[in-house]
Amino acid sequence: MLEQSLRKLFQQQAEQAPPPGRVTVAQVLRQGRLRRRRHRIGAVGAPVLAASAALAVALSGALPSGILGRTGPQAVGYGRLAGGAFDPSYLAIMFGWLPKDTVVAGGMTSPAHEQIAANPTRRENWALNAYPRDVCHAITAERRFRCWPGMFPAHSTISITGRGPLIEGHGSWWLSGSSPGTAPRWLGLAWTYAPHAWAIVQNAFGLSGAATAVRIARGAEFGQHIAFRFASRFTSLPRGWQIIGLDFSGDYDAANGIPAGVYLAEDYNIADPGTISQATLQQGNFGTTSPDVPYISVNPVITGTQHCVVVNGTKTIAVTTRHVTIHGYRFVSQQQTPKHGHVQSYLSLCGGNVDGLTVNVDELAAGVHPHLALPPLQVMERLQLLGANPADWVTNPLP
Amino acid sequence: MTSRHDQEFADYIAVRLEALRRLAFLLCQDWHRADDLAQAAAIKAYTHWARAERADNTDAYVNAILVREFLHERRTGWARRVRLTEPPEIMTSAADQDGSLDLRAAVAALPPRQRSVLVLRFYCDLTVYQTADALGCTTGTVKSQTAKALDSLRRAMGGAAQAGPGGNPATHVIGIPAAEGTEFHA
Repeated sequence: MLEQSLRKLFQQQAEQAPPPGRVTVAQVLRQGRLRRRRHRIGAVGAPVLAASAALAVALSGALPSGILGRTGPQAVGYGRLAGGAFDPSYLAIMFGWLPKDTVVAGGMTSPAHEQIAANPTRRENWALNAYPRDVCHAITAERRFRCWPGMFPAHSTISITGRGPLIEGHGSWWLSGSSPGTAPRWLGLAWTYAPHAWAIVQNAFGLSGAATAVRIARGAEFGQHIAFRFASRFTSLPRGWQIIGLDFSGDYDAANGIPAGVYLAEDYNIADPGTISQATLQQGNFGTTSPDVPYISVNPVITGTQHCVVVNGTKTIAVTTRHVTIHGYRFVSQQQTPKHGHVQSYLSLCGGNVDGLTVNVDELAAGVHPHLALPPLQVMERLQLLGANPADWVTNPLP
Repeated sequence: MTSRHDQEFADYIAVRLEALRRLAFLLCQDWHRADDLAQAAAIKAYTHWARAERADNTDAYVNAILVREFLHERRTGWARRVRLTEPPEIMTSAADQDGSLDLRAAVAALPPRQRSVLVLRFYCDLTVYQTADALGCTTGTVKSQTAKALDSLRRAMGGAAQAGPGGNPATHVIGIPAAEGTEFHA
């Protein structure tokens, strides 16, 4: 009897007209990407950052400047990341041709990998990837294509399935990628756009679209110098700190009020590349001995104010919480030390006076004795928020 | 979006988001928190999408994420975003003469884990084994939690019945228990 009443009650509650939801798919995707990026950087292994930083240290100066991306004064100013590696502050690749009704959705940059993706309006999802010299290799005898760790999902295999057409006079290979135990899931076309430097056009959605892939590859543009827009900028930073990676959004966000052709840096990481040791990189275990990497997300696209509340936590984890006011904004600063030894420091913006701007400054540091060289509070103190108006955004957030 | 992963997930979550909200509401009895929970669960599902889509039942997998997120939040709950206003009160209506409000209040007063068990078993229609799998506990725990929850409800409903349908006007206005913690306003 009671069970029946419960079923009836739950059904009634579930079927009642709910208030309008605040959660959108786009919001989930954005936050999911932030979280995924956080995982990438954090304790689990940080493959992308490891590879990026590895490139920064191991290949510093070893690559001829100018084969990729931009050259000139900006590259000189990039210090230890100069050379063949990409400057994550700029986008070096661009589609020269895309299928009809397809727009640039966004992408990511790091010293070792740049990706620009086109949002599909049909069942194809095209991404153009570029890698600096020696990051990827085609091992034709084994019919395998390999890149630095972290360039593709862990444990995935990339097979060479055949020889492709000439792309700008260079030979190419057809690729198919899959995860363990699954059938081939994506189609790729790889070619060298510069000596020992590979590019891949990828239909992440499946194995169709070979002709489209060839056309996109032949239209791909390298050596671009496209600036991102930042909705924040630093008033100061320790010497040597650089942007080491970012995620950006593209024309897909036009509906959110961002002008076409403006690529918004939604979140980015800064670090002193010199603090990342060679040994750490060789071990491929970035999480155990890495320095701190502040993670900065200033996203005017995600609207609404974050309201925060501090709940009495249990004693199983040590949580330190305090309230601070910086630049007139009220924040709650929290740091927790879970059992596995990682320190996570969060700075969350709380308050009603910053509608239209979401700010997170997280810092993930790992190891038994992590050192927080630039804690979130200091990051926030040095960060100037530029609001939600694209006209106020800057192309260089560094001082 | 940058990959097929994103597209597939977007297709899935677009269909499922509303159902997640409703399930979250049954767990926490608060639409504002339900939004937060649904979002947190969806984000977690996104980061584990490869595993979720390989699961025998993706919906059950994502539901389990949501329930565990709810329990985890209640257990550790060291920080979260919440409303700044009190939840609206639920008023009795003429059509609500079957004691469902008393039952609703009794369910809302249950400990989170017991409430989760009831929702999984009597709303999601999961078996004891499936409920145990979703909660990450033994079948014995599910059975005992179910029994305790039903016992609590019977006792609560019995008390309400003794008070009589119109005995105490206060029983006709049931506020959802306020969230724990210290709220602050900017």
